[in-house]
Amino acid sequence: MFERVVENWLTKVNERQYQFAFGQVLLSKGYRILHMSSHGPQEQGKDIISIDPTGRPIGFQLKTGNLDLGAFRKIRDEIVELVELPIEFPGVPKNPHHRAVLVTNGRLADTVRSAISGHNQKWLARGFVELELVLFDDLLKDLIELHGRFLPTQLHDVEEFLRLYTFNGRSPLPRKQFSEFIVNNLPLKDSLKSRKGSSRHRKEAVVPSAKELGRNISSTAVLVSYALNAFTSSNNQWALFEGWIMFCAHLLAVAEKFDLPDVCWKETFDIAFLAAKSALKALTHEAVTHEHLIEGDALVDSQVRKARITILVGLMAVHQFISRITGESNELTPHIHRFLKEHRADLWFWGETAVPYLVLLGLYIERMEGSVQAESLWGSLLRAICLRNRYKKESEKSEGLSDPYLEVEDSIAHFHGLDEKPEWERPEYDGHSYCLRALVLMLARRLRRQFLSSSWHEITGVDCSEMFPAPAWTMLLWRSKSGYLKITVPQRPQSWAALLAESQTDDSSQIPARLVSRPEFMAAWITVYAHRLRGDVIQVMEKGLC
Amino acid sequence: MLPDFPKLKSKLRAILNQRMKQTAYGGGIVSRVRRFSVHEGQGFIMQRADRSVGKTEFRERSVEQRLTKDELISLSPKDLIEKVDKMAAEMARQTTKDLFEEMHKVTSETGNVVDGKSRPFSFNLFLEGLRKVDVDFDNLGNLSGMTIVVPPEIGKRIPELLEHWKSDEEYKRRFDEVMAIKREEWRVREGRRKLVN
Repeated sequence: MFERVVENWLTKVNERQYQFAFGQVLLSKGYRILHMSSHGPQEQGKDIISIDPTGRPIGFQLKTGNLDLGAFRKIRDEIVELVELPIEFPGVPKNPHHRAVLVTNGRLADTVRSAISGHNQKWLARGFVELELVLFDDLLKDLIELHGRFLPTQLHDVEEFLRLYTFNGRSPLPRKQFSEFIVNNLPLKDSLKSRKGSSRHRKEAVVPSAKELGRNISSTAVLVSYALNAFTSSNNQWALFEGWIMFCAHLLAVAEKFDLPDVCWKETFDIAFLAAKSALKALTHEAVTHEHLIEGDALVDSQVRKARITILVGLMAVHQFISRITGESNELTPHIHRFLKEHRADLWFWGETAVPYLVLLGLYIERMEGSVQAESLWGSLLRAICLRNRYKKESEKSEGLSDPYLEVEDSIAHFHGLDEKPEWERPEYDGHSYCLRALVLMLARRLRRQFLSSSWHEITGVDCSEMFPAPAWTMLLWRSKSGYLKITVPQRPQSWAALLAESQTDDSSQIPARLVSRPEFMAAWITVYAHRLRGDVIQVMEKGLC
Repeated sequence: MLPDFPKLKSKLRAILNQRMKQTAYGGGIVSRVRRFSVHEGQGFIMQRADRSVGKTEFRERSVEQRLTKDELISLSPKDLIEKVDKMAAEMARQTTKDLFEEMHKVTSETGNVVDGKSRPFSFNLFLEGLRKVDVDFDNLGNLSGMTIVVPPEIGKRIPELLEHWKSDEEYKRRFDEVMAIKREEWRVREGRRKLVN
């Protein structure tokens, strides 16, 4: 049955969408991937640059669907570049000449085969290599082989996969469900306990070998590609971005849990993060070229449009930070600046799930325009939390902003009063906040004593909650069964000197090392994992980004 | 399988669950205590304003109800509701007991306990207790957000006792004295809600 799903998926995706799965196939066969295209100009006909298991450079050109003679003629120049232009990449030798491979998730017409055969003879005569082909059947076979014994076989796992595969692709990513899917396919549950009736995981009774973990990771990366199919079909780049970021986070969790050497997981992580970055870039491009930023049912869109804009500006800030840190070219910068300027008045704070977007936007504004605007933004967030989430008396109406554990959609619904439950079932958000301490410390670090001084009376009306999963790597999971919620009651009075010292304390001991060393990933991750936004997390991220 | 009606049964189950929650948490002292959901972890650590730290592990509370197949077959809607109410009442009892045990533990640690030592509830005992607690006031100086929990037998006597205490000038004077102290303590506390140095 699962083979049919893979086949179905492979017929529906384009080259951008199967590129990441194909990358995993290459890794599983022992190739090293040096470069993967973001499908812009300057690709020299090569979407993937790699070193094959014998150490020879190899370039891949990826195409979509069946190729007849007409289609082949259209791409002939790119194919010529693929074969003839040497690979220009640091560390890649010019000799021997690189291998060249045309990949498509379709089939070739006989006429195209003849044409390629003719070209190959000429290339060989001129000292180049033959063009190699990877077609639909090869891809399908490779994908199935890659999964090996790691395909979901238990009914529950298959059902869960199919639910995601057929999900409404226009909706936000169901993050809890998606995390469960990843956790069920990676060795992230208690790996020292055997589980009844789960043949897939029977080997987890012992700690798996690094090689086995590597295969498991590659297989899951490709499963994630399939599981995101519904969002791929709907061009829902936000969900795709979040899906890949979640996979990356779970992958880091596996690497931390088993303290894996880089060779087992890093290349898969890099490819998955590239997939996330590609989705982010596509989303940013769509947003800056969109005329009115209305999506879906236009009649009621006004009730969510500002949330959409707030998410977009936060993600644009992430995009800019990633581009700067990785040194990637970024032709969208002027459009992003125009967008940020035009929509500064459209920001909305609907609940604590909005905080990461607004914090990241502030960090970007701080870098581009100076600190006043950014601090003003964070200050207004802090004031709003203190006002709405302060302790209420029994007679007062609860109006607390929802906590960051809600899905964004549910959080917006709560703001609009659309989730009214009976009193005894209603969640209470008054009296505490998950992000207040982080905001206080950010402003203290920026020496905003006067502002904090004038706000301290209100700050003391809200307790600061921060979750510390244990061990630290479990903070990369959606939920952790172990660890403590730390509730800090603001001091009365609070010494400014002590607060300043606390804000400058450099302590990353509660954050996984592989996350600390990737600030650009951390910025993307915190938009998805809003419930992990803590004082120490923000400080480490700030330090890495700025 | 035999014919079944899962959609309808799911609705019935939701009604029972709601009634269970309403009975357990919709009334009594538990309904008046601020509560929030903790979504993960095994407990919480509270760092109080005075920087003292308390650690609490989550405790599972459950109520078991055993029904035979014969009972299940013959359950009328009324019987079903009675069973649910009984379970909910037991849940409320356990939760309330936990609440008071935790309060007793914390107040014992901080020395905030007035032990009546079998003395009957009286104005002096009431005033002694009042002296031990922080009392809040609103911006107009009115008493705010204070709840006193007493055993049911004392609760029955409270209206009569209050009448008596209010009519006694000496009691009134002593109560006002304590409240004046409490008001001043509250002002001091409020004054401390600031950034200094």
